[in-house]
Amino acid sequence: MKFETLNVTGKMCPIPVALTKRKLDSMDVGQLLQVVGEGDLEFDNIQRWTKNKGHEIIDAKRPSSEFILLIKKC
Amino acid sequence: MSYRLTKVVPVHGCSCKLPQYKLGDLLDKAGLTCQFGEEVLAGPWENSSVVKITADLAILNTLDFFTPMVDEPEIQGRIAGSNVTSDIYTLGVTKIVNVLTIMAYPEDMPNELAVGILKGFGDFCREMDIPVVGGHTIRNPWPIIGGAATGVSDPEKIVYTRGAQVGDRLFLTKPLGIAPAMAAYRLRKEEEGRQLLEDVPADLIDAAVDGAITGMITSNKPVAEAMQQVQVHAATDVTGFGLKGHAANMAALSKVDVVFDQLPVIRGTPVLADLFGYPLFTGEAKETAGGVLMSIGKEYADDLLSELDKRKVSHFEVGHVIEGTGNVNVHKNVKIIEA
Repeated sequence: MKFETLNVTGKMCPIPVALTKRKLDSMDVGQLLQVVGEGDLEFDNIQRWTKNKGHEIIDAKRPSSEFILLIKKC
Repeated sequence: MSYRLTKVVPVHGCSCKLPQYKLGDLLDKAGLTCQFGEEVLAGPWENSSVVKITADLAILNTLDFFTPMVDEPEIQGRIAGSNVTSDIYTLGVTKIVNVLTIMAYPEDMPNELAVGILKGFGDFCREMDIPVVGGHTIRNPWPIIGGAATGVSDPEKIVYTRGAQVGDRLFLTKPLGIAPAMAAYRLRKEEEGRQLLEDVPADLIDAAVDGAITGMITSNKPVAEAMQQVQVHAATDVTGFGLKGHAANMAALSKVDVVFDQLPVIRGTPVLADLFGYPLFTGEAKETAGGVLMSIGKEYADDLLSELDKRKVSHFEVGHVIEGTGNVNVHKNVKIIEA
């Protein structure tokens, strides 16, 4: 599976969502974006924004305080 | 001053509030949502507790504190004062008999900042004729400011979050958009943030930030005064749960549905909300020291607006109340008014 990666570790809200938005804006429909970061707030906010904008969350992992989201641009 | 209050916390203002569903779970598990005696007129999920002491006297108590929204200590103190007192003014009660402060700050925070915060808090309360009679201050990794307020009222004259009726019109007294505006306030102080904001005109950011700060330090006391003149069915202030969350509370407690077809937002915040991904147009963005959402019968609406106008309180019609079971519907094509 091919995907681009965005690391937002250590960045406070709302920067993780803003960077996710900016990255997805530059991608084509159907492409995958992996977002790596940390924090409950950031994890929830990126997922909520992704769903609100109609993109698809393919996978959401939370192995520890970090998270890994795989988003499909729709 | 190099120490920035907003830099040392990851969440700001009412955004640090626990989500409604988590709070509900905690209260349920702790057994704090049980039935109260007849003397308790309002408990959890209302803006303030209300306990009836005698037939014509009720005591209102509320507690509110949060992390910094701004780096200017006196403004931060004023915002906290506005937020604490709002929880009593929202019930249509103008008499707050005293306030206690709650403050916490890290050891490396300069003392003059703590003094400034307390001064701003005290100045705000003084202007509202409320004595600050004590408080509690501790060391803590995050700066926190807030307080506990006590109000008194005739129990018959209190306006609750419950009580909205089918056919009511809904009015909101302050435009929405504190979260995106204040995110811009913080981000424009950082290189990475300035890059994110590079396509947004500076005057638009200024307008958003100025509008947000002015709104937060504006007291809801005149709204309470207006509510004393006109019969309002239900009211809630709009803070950390966002407009939709607080309206959901009103709808559930009133056993009705709420419909929003128009949302007022602070000028400049739509572009910022889009840039940062805040759900402003769905009424879900968190607010701090926000306005009062009032549900009023059609026949009294003009009288209410007249009382608000007399006191120079901004107001916006945002929707209406229909039959239902506690749902909130924000129209897909909701009209956005920049104010």
